[in-house]
Amino acid sequence: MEMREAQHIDRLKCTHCDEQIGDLIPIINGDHTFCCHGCETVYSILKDNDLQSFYKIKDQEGARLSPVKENRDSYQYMDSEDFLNKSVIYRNQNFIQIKFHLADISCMACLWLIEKTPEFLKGLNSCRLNLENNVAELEVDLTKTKLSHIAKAFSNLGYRPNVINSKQTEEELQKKADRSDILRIGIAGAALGNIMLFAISNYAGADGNYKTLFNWISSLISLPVMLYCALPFYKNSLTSIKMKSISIDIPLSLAIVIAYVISIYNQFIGSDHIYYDSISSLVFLILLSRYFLKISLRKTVTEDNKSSFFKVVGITKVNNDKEVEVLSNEIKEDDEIIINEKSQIQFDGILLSDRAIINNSILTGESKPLSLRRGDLIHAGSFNMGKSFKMKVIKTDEETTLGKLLQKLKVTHASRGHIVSLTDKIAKYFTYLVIFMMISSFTYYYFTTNFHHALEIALAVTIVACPCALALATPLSFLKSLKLLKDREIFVKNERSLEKVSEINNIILDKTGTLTNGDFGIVHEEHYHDINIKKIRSLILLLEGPSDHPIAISFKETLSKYQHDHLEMKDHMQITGEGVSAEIEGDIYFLGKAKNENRLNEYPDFTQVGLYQKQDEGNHLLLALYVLGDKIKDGSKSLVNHLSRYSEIHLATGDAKSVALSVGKNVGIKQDNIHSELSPEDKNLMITKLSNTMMIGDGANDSLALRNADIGVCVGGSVDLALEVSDIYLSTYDISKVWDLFVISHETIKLIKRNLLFSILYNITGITLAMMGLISPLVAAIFMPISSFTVLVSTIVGTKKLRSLKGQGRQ
Amino acid sequence: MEIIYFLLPIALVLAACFVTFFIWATKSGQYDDLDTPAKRMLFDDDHRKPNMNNGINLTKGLKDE
Repeated sequence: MEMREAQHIDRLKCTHCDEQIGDLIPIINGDHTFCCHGCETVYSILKDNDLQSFYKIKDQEGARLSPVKENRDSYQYMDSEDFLNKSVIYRNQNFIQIKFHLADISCMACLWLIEKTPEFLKGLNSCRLNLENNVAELEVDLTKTKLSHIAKAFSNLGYRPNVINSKQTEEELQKKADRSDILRIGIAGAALGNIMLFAISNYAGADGNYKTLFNWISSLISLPVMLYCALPFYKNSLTSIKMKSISIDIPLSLAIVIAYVISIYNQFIGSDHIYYDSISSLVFLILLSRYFLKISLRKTVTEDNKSSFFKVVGITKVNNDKEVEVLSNEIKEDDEIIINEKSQIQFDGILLSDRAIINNSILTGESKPLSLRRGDLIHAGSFNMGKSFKMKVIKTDEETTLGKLLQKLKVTHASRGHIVSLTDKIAKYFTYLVIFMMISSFTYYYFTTNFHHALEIALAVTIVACPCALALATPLSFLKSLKLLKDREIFVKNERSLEKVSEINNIILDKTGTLTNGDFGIVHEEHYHDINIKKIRSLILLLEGPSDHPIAISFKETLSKYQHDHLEMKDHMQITGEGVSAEIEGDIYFLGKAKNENRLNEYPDFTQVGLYQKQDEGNHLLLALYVLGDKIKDGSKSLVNHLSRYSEIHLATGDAKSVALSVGKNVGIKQDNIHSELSPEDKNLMITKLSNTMMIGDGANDSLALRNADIGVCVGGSVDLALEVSDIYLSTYDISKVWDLFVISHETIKLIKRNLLFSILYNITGITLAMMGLISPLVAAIFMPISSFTVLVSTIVGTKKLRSLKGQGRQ
Repeated sequence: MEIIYFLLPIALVLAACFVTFFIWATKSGQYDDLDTPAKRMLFDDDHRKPNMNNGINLTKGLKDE
């Protein structure tokens, strides 16, 4: 919003969160000012409990806090026996153990504060936070306190708690998988270290009994590597054979198994060709790089997957004129419930209050709020923009329109196929090549020398051809790019999607919330005749005060945050379809539709509202002009401009044609590619007709398309439904970041290709040497690490563009 | 050089001990969180007396208080 800078700006800062207060209304408490009540609450808690070191730690770390969102939830449902039984991890007479996922944890100071809570919260015995997934494990003494009090306390500190169900098997499985990954890496590392000791002695010239002994010990130590650490490679090979495809793991497993068997055989016949050291270093390096890739991919998803759309929250139910708070999953048809201000509605129902204002853009893509009257239908997913109202529930969960959409998402399988990674594509040809080389060298030597020699050469070829650098190349390249993307608040759920981005040539953009801000607000304001901005705001607030028209709500929503004067008003009149007028401090003012001659030409399709003062002669003097609508995001135009070099750009929206055309024209999308008034199914149909598609959207109405596009990208502020089905997630509203995603994806592919080229060069040299019978165990032992090392260095150096991107992360 | 026959088993047993210890540590969950402990250790211990007030402000907004 382009609020013009007022003549005087109080350089006030919020004591808690460093937010500039400007000419917003500060909340003053003693000597301190705050930007909102949330921040004030946190500050006073910290002060009362002598915990101001929080700010010291925060400053040391250079972290910035965002304003604390006030939360009215009372968490009473947490006290019910039913809830406790479902969620508690461990329970005895004295205490319970429970896990909370805490939102908005930003830095070390948060860790410090959260782990300090047992010192000042009565009944909280202990609290340990895991920064990797923001999950806190609490021990609560229920004889001293209620769980809802503890939850409320965390919420008041700014960390909204969300209970993690103890029966979540997924988490347990993940923990188990992580532990075995670490075990495999650790054991492979230990084996590698010990085998190296003996291998180096042998290369240095140990002979006779010593050499035999060292070799036998090495073969014993590498047994766990072969049987336990390398297990994932065998499993992956089997899976890809079952799927009738070839992955990099097949030549990998083949090479290590053959190398191990050959080494044991050679040990018996007293030959020097023994490869235990190479095997274990290879297994160790690949396990390590894959583990890092897995971790860096995972951190992005966990937090967002925590809540589902129909999450269990407290709902106020009206029961014989009494208001009680119950869990949302206990609400049934025909129940009467109260929907609070600014909250999301989880049920389909009928409005019982006289009026209500809701925003239904999640389902329809229409950004203008709707004004409802008694008896009108309300859909789940709508957002209450006005005052709290009463509604009668007619449908719950899966029965609601939104729920049906959700169900459809669950049953329709993603139409996009499995994306084959570049490495696996190359691995396919590579494997054929190795098999061909092996057979040809065997045949050649069989006819020129003897069977034994031919076999030896053929096996040496297979071992040297082991694509270890090839297997390392991709995970290493991704690690770097994922970090770059994360700095730009772009999170990728699967590294293959990042590869796929570079092949996209059809981009489908959603309008509401993606290209535009998604809410109906003040886009532009113009002031005339040198009147104090504060007075204008006060006049508008006063005039719109009694009204609950969507425009009035927009005005009140924005302007009430600013300081305003207290003026006297009389004779307030509502002129239907025109506006409102009233006498304020002796003058007559009118606020309503701007006259044609006053309208700004830059905003033809927007609602324009003028504030007029009635002059003595009967004319109206324009004091201020406000343009209202769904503003196009700043980055949208440049994004479309950049992207159109790579791909065709389409606009798909559920909103009306005129709005779609105007937005499309503004950002520079071809008129033929603008599709309006689409249902979620229509959007999906559109996707399936195009190839190499990327859908960028945010609402529930985009979710089918997001899932079925080759790449689904959802932008900041998306509904969690959209989050779940998309491959890439922007945690920022800044849509221009999508361009960074494209650049980084293209650069990553370049880097991967270069790495693959290096490793293939090494392999071809190795295979040639082996075919000429020139490879000795020592050469192999040096060769393999050098190729991996080259790939590592090449990745660290990166490309020129990746290096230049590194400097400019989060601003 | 016969000393090697004595030193080798010791070295191997030692290595085995460390690996066993590592396996135990992993299985008992010592490596479940690789992030937080590194930061936690940087905080000063201030052993001030627990200030068990009755949660002034902390439960602000609760209806039944």
